[in-house]
Amino acid sequence: MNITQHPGDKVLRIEVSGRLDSNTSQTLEDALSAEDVKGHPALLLDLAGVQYVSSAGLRVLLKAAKAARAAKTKLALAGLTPQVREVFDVSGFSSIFQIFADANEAKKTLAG
Amino acid sequence: MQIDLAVDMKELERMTAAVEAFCDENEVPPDAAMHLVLVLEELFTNIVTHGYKDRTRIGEPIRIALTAKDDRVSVGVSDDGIAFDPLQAATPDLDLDVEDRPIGGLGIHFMRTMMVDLHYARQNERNQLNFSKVWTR
Repeated sequence: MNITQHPGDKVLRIEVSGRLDSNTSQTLEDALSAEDVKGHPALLLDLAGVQYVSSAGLRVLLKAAKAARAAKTKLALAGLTPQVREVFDVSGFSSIFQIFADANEAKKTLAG
Repeated sequence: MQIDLAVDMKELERMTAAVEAFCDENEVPPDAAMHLVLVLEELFTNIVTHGYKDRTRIGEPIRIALTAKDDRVSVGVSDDGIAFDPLQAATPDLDLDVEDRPIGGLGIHFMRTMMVDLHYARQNERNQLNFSKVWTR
């Protein structure tokens, strides 16, 4: 799994690619727990490069959603592949996140 | 295909590679293959995390067996950890808000949703879980 941060004007885009499973999810959890990431007013998780997510990956995303809610910061997801979208749907996760088709669309909304 | 695994999360990669290779060889459609990899990751993770808490971890006691026939893959997962019937586990509430959403139980929910013919038995001090993935071409 690879994680790349793209700081923007108002939105911090975090690009994730690869597999988000029991063995890799800790890496994402650590990246999202960093102070400058956690405290950022608008976070966008770009998952266009993620082909696979298991409940271990969902747990990290849920934790980030809870942290964003508590800190009153914005958090959105973008670029879900059909395989990842299916796992979100089966889990009921599609309804608890703000999900955009792609990163550009998400940035416009988050920055506004 | 049969693979024996140690009680160690490092084995996940080896298991995933074996399941993917099996699906390739048997021309299992990509969606069905992903479901198999996902459900087996969830079960394997549960066994490693909860199944051997107070037990010694000798050798490679977790066994996964896959058989392909027509539009079906039959799966057997067995281990000699603590007796646990995942089919008796509570169904997670998927409608709760972010604050109250639990994460436990999702793996078993995936199995119930994506697999058929689920069956559990405790035999010879081992958990034996069987299920199948079926698809239409």
